[in-house]
Amino acid sequence: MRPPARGAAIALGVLALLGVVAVLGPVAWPVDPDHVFDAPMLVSASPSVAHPLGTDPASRDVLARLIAGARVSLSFGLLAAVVALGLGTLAGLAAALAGPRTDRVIGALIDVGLAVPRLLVLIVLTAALGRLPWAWLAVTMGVTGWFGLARQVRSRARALAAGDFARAARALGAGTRRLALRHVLPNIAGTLSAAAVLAFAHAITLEAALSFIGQGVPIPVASWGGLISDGRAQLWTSPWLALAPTLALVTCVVAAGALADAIERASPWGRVESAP
Amino acid sequence: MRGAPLRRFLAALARGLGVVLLVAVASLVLMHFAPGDPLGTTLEGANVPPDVIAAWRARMGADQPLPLQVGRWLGAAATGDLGYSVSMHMSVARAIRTALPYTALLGLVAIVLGFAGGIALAFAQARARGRALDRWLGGGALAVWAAPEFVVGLVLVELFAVRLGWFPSGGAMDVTLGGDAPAGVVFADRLRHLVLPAVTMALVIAAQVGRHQRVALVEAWREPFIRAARARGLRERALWVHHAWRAALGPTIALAGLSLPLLAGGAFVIERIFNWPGMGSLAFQALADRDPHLALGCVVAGATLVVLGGALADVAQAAFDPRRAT
Repeated sequence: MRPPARGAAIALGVLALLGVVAVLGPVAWPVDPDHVFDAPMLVSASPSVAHPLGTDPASRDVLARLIAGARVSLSFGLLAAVVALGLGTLAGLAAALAGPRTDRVIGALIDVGLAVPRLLVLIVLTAALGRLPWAWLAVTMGVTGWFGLARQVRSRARALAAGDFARAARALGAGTRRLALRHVLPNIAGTLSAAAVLAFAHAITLEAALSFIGQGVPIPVASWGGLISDGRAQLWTSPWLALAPTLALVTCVVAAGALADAIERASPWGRVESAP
Repeated sequence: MRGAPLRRFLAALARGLGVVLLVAVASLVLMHFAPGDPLGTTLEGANVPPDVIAAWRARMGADQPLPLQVGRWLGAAATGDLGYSVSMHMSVARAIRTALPYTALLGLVAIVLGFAGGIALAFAQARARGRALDRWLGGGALAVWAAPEFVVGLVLVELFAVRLGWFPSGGAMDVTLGGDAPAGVVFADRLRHLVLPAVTMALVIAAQVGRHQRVALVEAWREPFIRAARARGLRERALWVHHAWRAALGPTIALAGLSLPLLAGGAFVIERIFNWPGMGSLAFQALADRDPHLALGCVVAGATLVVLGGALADVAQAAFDPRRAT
């Protein structure tokens, strides 16, 4: 295999493994992540046979919470990425193909969206809307994260629409929708998948940042970011609390980043901008 | 074509002004419909007669119809008046003027360190491309890029502030230092406070810059003009620095433009960790105290810098890239 393909295979393997842990983890380790074992005695216990990753300050099993966190964090990233990908593709294609007036409106929207720090927008929104359940927080994350993707889609689609095969398709009577779906979209699939993978990784990291500020996935639902934030006070006394979710998160994001890199390298158009 | 870059910059700036206006109007409209009050949480729980509150609200213009509020805010903002921050007990403009230098100092040091580190990393990787050193450095950069920045910050705090005690864990200065302390001591104290937040931010920036720059360098290295320059007898080092790097600088300059907002509130999380009294902390306080005028000021200040950074990067990119030179 060529190096990009091998890198992509490893990255995909790691992500798939994390997915399997999220799906089958509760079967393999059937411990309730919210169960309090022995509140005064078994608080922040070190790893043992009964609790392979120890217990947290509320005497809950860290491994069970890590698995529950994987379910939440991975679904969170997927949901946010799907929303961002859908909105970004739609807006980008519309801007590039639906005429100059649409282009101006969407272009202004993209500029405005990119001009405000995303974390700030998210914090303002969570402050205004109250604590959101994790799925809605993920949707909000997607809704605030499609601007960079839309700009990429727009510039690539615009270049493609000016190309020979698009002109030929137009001449053969293809409408805007057919042009977008059958001719432009397949040609930007590589860019889109790389951008979607990066959006997935960004959403998980951003949720962790929100958790750190106290605006992430609300308790008692476990997310990797929430677990890291919970464990950071005991970083030296009980390092397993923060270490396990940090490793899980970093592994996941590294794999996603490597996968996006491999897709970009395999595609002939060069790099995808990662949103700031 | 001397005037072209300037004209380009002004055009980008004019567009940017429109963007900032849109951001301000959108935020004002959002603020109007979001729950909360221009008086924030200041009067919450206090036993204040309703007519006094009404009088204050009227004084702040909160009882007027939305279009009028928007118009008034924009009109005042044009003269540099961004409203009054109830939680800070000062004008928003003054609060921003106090916080901005801290953020600018931190951001500037971090951006310089981060770009220098990232570019050095990319050179080391590109020259060792395909070898083990390239893979190890790349893996390290990928891990730093992937870790949430607060994890990077917390690890540095635990290590260098809590364990080793080399640097303070937060704040921008030692408040117990009297006003009569010698300038050298004050300077050293400021520097010690700056190290950890700046290094945290620089690491995050360097990881991203390095990833972009390495790809661009390796790509440029394959271009025919490198072979041509090599045929003219140039040394390896000169080839990398004067030819490959110059061609590979474009994406890095774009990235530098994108990182300019770090100077005005992008480093939200890092400022929180290190309790750094900059724009990020100000924005956080605005939200914690539900102080809408202050929040609005922070958002508009942030958007202005984003736009400025984009315009500067656009011009710089055109000026540096020999292929785009006119």
